[in-house]
Amino acid sequence: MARRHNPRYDLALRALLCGTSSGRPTTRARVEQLVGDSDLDGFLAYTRSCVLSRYFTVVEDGHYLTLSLASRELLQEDSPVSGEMLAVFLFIWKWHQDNAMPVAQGTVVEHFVGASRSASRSVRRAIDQLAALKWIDEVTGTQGRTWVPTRSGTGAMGQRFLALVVESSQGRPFSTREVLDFFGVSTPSGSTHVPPLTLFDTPAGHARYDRALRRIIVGTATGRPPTLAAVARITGDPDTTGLAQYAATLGLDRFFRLAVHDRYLLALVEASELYSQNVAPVRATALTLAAYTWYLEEFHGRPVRYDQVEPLFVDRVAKPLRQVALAVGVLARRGWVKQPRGRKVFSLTPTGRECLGRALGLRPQDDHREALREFAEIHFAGFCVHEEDGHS
Amino acid sequence: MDDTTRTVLGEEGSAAVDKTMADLADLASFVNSASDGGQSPRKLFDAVRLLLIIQEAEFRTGTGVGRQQGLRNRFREQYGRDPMVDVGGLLGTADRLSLISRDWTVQLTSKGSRLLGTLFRVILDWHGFHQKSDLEQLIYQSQRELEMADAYENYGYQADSLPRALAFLERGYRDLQSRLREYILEGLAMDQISALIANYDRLQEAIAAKRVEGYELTLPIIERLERSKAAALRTAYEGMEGVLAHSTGRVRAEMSLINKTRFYTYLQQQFATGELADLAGRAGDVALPVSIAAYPSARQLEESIAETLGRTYLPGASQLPGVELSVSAEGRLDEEDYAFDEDLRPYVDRILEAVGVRKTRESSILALQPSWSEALMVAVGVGELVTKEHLRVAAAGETYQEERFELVGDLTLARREEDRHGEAP
Repeated sequence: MARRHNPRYDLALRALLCGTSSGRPTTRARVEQLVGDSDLDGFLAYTRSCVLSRYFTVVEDGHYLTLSLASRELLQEDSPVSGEMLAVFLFIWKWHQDNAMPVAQGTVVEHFVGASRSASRSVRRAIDQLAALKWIDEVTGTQGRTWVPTRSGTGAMGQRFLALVVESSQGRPFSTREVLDFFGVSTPSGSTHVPPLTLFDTPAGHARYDRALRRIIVGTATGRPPTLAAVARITGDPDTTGLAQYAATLGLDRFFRLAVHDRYLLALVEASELYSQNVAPVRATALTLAAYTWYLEEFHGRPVRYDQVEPLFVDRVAKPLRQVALAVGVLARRGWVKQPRGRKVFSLTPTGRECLGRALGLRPQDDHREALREFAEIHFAGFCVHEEDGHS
Repeated sequence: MDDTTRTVLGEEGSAAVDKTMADLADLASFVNSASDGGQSPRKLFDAVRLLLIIQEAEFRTGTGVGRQQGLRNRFREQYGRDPMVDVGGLLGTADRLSLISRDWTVQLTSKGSRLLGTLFRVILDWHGFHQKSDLEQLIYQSQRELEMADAYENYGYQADSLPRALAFLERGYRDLQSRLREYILEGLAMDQISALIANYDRLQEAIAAKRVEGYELTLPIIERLERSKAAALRTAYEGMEGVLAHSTGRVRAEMSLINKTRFYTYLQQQFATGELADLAGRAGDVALPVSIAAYPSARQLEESIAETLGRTYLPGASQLPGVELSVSAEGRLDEEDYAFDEDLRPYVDRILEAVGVRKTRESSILALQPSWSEALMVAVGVGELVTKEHLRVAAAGETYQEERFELVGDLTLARREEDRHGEAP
């Protein structure tokens, strides 16, 4: 019997997939609005049976819904979670479990204050970053800021990671049950706990395609999509036909599309419906900046400096350069641009270019340069100067 | 309360009230003077000690202290240092306020003794309050109000002790409610809860006793007390649950074979080393929030740009029903017969009419309707006039493209009667 799909649930899942413009997780209220139901039990059950659950986990902690993915590559290369954040989170989690109390920020700072010279500042930063990830939540207290771990946070900690941390701290390994008891994680008695799948241990006959898809998803999320050759090495196929067919068979098209840009393979979400529902993964300012950056890269070379895009905001906002920095930050988090650390330049990633190309309806065979010139002249009239012919 | 209860505040122009207030003013004057106008509370402390030395001498010997030097010597003998306050000045002030009588010796007057007694009781009372931790002060104060109630109300004075005790209790349970976790953590929760409930009981008992004595308490205070006690009991229940969870957490943690101290120390040691990030990478099962890129539609992208650049975007322009693309009597632009030879101004007017605005930007229309775009571009390229010849060139392609891209900026299209159409600056 064919599996039934719920378009509203699929739309909400797409919203979770592409995140929010603020970079924070999607709120429960927003998902309820997209789903059209204040009870999310049905939606959560749908997500567990949906094909996306092969790659992502949906965590609901009462306030937010987060789509997370366990990947060695993401953790080792472009992890949004630093070692300091992990240390602070584990401390808050364990302390909270021991005392059944929210942890005062002062307590956390005191604990780590001897670790390094600037530990106090690092702890505060780590706490703010953990709060932005919604791994911890602030509890209103009368004596300063206090924190509790959220279900998203504790759910994100894999058993293997916890076991490794305990082993390193105690000097010998402990059983999984002992480790889970130590952190107060309950496991159903009598059942063997199955650890979540990770990038390199997917079973089943199409493991190579699943691995390739994970690689593409993680690559797109980190702004470093795999090349066609890299994907071919994983799948063993000379081209992507098999992979595309596999993705279509699974029904992944309902959530994201596989796209080829130059020699890169990307996973992209078609979000026009989300924009019409006022759930914009990238807001107007950032979209404008991206489109103008593409034009500048095409006609003036890359990377693009902040001062080149600054005119877009002059006389429109109080601090144009700050606006540029904010918009570039948003685009960088979304994987549209990459920016060398500490430098005020940036350039579009293949993901960013492909997103813009798709937004403009460009096909691979189209003359992108010409189309871009035309688009820029219409929409960026007054800001365009083509270097090669000097026309403006 | 019963109407027969005496209330000081109801008395107008009574000699007793005047004298009472005069005594209070004298006491305040003494306190103000001894503490340098409130700037030196420690001087006040020494001043009270000096007055108490005078009183003590009177209790012991029935005589006073030998004036200024004798008083200073007694103070030095008792406290091992000179008083911070100027003894001569203090005695002068006390004398002026009739708190002491100076003869061969210095003695407290009956007024001085009375005021000093009041002062000393206030000191003891407030000291008791401030000795309590900030977590316990409210309940202490409520208890104190209850204790003091009898002292005044048995003499028939309306001191409002019961409502004040209730108000402190209410504040106490609200404080307990908001700082419950803190109390539990400090190990004070159970004590506070039992003290709170005991005080409610005591208050109820006091009210019952008043009834027995014949005082008829007004209904609002009884209702308020019952409501308040119910709320306090709820808070107490939450508190006990919290204490239980706290203890369970501790017990579970203590039972684990994994050494907690070593674990915490390890986290501290590895805080800045990046070891934990490496472990996460090795394990590969820390789930991170991810999002994959999403793209809007062309129209949404264009709207976004227009919004950011503060330009007008006309989303409905591409869906105008039944718009006549040309007003030419000789043919239609969209049929490309090029059989007309006229000014395009009427055509612009027509567009504006269809769009329903008096003025707009060319770019917002061009993006939506290519055939309009072509006509307008050519019109501008040739100075607003389209001839058969120009349109033939346009149809040929290359030359047309050249002209098309020579346009500068955006065009403002406006009604004929306003400014027709022209290039934007």
